[in-house]
Amino acid sequence: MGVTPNRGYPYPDPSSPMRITEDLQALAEAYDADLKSVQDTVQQRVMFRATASARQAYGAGATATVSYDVLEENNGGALAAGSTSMPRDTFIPNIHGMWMFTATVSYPQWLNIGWVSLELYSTFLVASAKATEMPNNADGNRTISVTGMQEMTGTGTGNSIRAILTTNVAGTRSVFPLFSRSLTGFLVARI
Amino acid sequence: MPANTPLGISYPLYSDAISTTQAQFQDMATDMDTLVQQLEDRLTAASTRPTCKLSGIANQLVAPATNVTVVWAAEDFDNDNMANIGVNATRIQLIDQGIYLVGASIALSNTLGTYGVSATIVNSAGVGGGVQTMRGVSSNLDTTPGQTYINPQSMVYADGITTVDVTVVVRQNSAAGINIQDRNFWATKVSNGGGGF
Repeated sequence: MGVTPNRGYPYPDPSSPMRITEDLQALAEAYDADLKSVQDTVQQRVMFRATASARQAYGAGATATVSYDVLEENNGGALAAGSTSMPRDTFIPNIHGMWMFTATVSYPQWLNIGWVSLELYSTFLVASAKATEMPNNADGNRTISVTGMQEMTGTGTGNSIRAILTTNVAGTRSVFPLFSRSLTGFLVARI
Repeated sequence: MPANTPLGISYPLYSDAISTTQAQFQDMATDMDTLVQQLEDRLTAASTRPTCKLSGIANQLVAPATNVTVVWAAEDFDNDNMANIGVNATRIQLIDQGIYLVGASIALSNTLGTYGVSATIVNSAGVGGGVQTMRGVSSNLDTTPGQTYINPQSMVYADGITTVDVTVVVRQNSAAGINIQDRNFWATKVSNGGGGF
């Protein structure tokens, strides 16, 4: 018997005795098993998305770690088992690779505010965006987003990601709300 | 005379001589082998898209009213030879055909006064050799906070024939120079676009 070069499928060579039905069965079974193994590698896109619409109080300090109430998506084993209970503010991707993250936060217009920043933070800064606030109340809510890419080790014990909001609000009110917010992560390349 | 399935798997016909059966078996097995290997290669490629990330920390001066192309010091990740900072420390190259998501996070030192600063992702394959495909804008307000961050993103198409260089250009209009500080720059292929795998 011969075998094909890549997948090892069996076929009769010229010196083999003629056994058409057995040879057909052997080829069909090898093909079936191999195709099944390839099919099993096809999974959902590895990604997660956490959201919240209930207000998050913000005012105890100039910096707040953004929290989320709902885990809308957790596909392909994206998150470590201990990182899926809600509410939470920190997530641990469970697969080693390069991940893309985007965080978005909506917040009200505030008086006496100079700037607002939103950071993607692991054990270090991944990416940050900053916006300047218009110092009037002529319009409503504002939104800030930040996107970054980072290698996550997928150990399930560390290498977490979270979003941190910071402003220099001067404190004309004691507590401010954060409105709609989301954090999305998806695997772009396995390592 | 064997025939072929639509995907090209050969099979013997009822009229073929029995003496050719073994050779036709081998042709059939080889065709199936090629197709499954091709499928697995494409699936592997789909889960490891061409991706690159560069970073830098050292101060890089941006003089007033001057376009400054950001310099990168480290290749954090590169699975498709998209960067070589020993040859060129300012660019990521989009080589494979497809659509890429490109972005950067740039920290800049502050300066006293109200000034503007921009970061632009420049695509070498654009009309006229350079297109400002995305601009992120922020403002330095005063000496607090310590840094201003800009986070531009864009999607860029590469045809797979002409390599596309993407760079980040920073410009500011204060009265004195400011420094580009902590920074990273990344690109990842998100779609094949028209044709290709």
